[in-house]
Amino acid sequence: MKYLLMLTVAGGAMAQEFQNLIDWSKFESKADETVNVNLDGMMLQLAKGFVGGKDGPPGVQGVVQGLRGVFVRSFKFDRVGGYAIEDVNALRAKVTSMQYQAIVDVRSNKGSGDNTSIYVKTNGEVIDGLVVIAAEPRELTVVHLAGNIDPSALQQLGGKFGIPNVHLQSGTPKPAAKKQGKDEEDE
Amino acid sequence: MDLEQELRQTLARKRAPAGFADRVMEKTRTQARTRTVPWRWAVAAAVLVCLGGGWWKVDQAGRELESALRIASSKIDLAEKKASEVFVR
Repeated sequence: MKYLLMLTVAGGAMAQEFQNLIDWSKFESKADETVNVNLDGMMLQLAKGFVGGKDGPPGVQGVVQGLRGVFVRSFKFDRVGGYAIEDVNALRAKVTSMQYQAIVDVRSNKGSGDNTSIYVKTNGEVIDGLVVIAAEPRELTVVHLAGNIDPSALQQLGGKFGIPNVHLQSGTPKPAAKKQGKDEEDE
Repeated sequence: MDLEQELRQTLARKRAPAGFADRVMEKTRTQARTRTVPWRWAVAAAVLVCLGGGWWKVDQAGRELESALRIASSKIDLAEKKASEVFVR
C-alpha cells in the first residue's frame, strides 16, 4: 500500500513537472493533430504488462522495466511556422535547467529545417531520464522518459515498432558538440 | 344472543383450511427468491462493469505506452540521422 502511495505521489510530481515545462496550449491551439501521453504511477506499472509480453516485440520489456514516467506531446501543423522557435529554445533552456545534458543537438540555420536534441540525466553511470525535442517544419515533438533507461535496451527497440534501428552509445554520455546544419548553403 | 356469547363465537379458534401452511410457505419462498436474485445480478453486473472498465483503461494505457515508445524511438533515430548527415558533409 505504501509502495502504491509512493508511486502515485512521485508520478504526480513528474507529470506536473512535465506539464510545467511550457504553456502547451499555445501549440495545441494551432496544431492540426495533437498526441498527449501521460503515463506514470500505478497506470504505468499496469501498462508495462501490456507491451513486450509474450506476443509483443522482444526487448521492449528491457526498456520499460525501469521507467517511472512516460510523457509525450506531439503537435502536427498544417503549415510551416506553426510554432515559434523561441518557444522551442525556452523549452531547451528549461530542460537544461533540470540537470539534463544534451548528448545530441542538431540544429538547422534554415528557418524550415529540422532541429532535434536528445538530453539525458545521469545518476553515476546510469541514465536516469531522457528528453527528446524534435522540432521539424510541421511537427513539434517532446518526449520525456523518466526513470532508469538502459541505452542498449533502447537500441533493441529499433525495428520492433516498424522503425529503423537506434544506435546509442552505452555508458555515461559526453556533452554534445552542437552540430550546425549548412542547409542554407544547399539552397 | 348476548355480547359475551357473540364475542366468544367470533374469537373462537378455527382450523386453517387445508393446504394453508403450504401456500404460505410457497409464497414466502417465491418472495425471498425474487428479492435475492436481482441483488446478486446487480452485484455481479457491477463487478463485471468495474473489471471491464479497468481492463479497458489498462489496455488503453498499454497502447499509449507503445505509441510513446514508437514516437521516442523514431525521434531518436531522426536525431541520429541528422547528426550523421552533418558529419558526412
